[in-house]
Amino acid sequence: MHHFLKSLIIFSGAILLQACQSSPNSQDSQISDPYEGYNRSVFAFNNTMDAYLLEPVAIGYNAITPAVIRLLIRNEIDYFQSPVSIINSALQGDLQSFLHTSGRFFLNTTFGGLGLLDAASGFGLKPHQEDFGQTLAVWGVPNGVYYMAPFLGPLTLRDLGGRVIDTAFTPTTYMGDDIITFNIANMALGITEFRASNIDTVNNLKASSSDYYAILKTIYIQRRNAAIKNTTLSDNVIDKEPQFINFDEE
Amino acid sequence: MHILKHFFTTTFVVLITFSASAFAEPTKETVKEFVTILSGEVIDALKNNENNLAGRQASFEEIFRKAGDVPKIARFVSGPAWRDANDTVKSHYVDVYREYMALTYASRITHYNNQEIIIQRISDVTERNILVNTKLAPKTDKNNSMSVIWQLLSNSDGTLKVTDLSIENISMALTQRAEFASFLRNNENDLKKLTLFLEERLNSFNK
Repeated sequence: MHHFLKSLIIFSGAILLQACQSSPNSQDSQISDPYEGYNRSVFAFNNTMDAYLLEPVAIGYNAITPAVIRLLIRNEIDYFQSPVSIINSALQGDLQSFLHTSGRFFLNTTFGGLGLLDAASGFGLKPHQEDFGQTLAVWGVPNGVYYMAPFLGPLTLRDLGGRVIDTAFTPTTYMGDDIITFNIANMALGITEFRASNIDTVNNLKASSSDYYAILKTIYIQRRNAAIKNTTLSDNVIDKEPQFINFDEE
Repeated sequence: MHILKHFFTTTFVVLITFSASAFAEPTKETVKEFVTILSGEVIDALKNNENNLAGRQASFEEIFRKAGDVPKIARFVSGPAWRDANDTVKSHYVDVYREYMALTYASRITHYNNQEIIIQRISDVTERNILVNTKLAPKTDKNNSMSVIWQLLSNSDGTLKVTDLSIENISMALTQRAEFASFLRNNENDLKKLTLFLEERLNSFNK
């Protein structure tokens, strides 16, 4: 275990050092994509895997899994992310987020049967995630380069480093007799559940995009920026930080 | 001298009065009414064209024509390519873009699930830019909502136009700008080529 954690820290440290050294060079995508050729190849591979493997599996999963079971699975996936969110809220010094995520964890543990039910939403605490990628952003670490990971999809160098660190704080990392097999299965379930929940959205986006790669990249960055600003914590999103587009800019 | 003083005072008063009335700032009630009516029209367009892409596209195009500042959006999403194009190319591009934008929205917003728009907050960001924070929530489950932020532009005559919609923090304008940027980068930033490309996309969808 000690060796595993040490390897994680060294690996993520190397990635983060790279993130700090790189800088954006594209004003349109707001993120540096110097390996676009490579990324597009991986993207094509991911797309093929999606068309021939993930989408059919997601459709099958949708067909045979009752809605209530899927809801329980989604709740449990969210519940096991709770420690990561609580720790990262604390690391960011964000009291509101810390109380929100801790409150959710407490309510879902006690009234939600160890996370099977999302009891916290009934108390007005909607699902909210924090991760180490967001913490690094709050600490001032830049995005680093854009990276399309095989099977996992879009990432930035900062988020890749963050994910490695988060793995150490996710309870499921240490579950199962065969840790690796268990975690691969757990990750596959999460990806399948996500794809199954977004069949129409993903397919509509693919069909209506002239450049799906570029669209996915900007969507990823926009969503990450919103997550860093914690816009989902408050209904009054505008209160957080007014974000408007200057349409007079070319 | 007295006449001059009188002249300057009168001119100053006229200028102040004119500048105050020249920009008719909309009230929050006007903004609220605009968004309520417009969202009602969008919901009607979705309800009436549930499985009809062409119908949704036509309805959205009509809505954009009436309530969207399409030339401004078209200019923004084309990035630096706009600067180098002549007026004929620009004008044709704006017309094609309006159709393309309607197709994009019609393809991505496909269903109406008995939701309603709840206006949460109206905020003046700059003198003319207004952000309206709303949520789209099912009438039976207000907790399961989706965030929709409208960016509006207030014109000098007090009329309002939509310039962007951010759905769950994804700006439609920024997304489209990113989509076009890679095409333009590979096509000498030529607006005419982008217009042709959009026409081809429209034709392939309308076949």
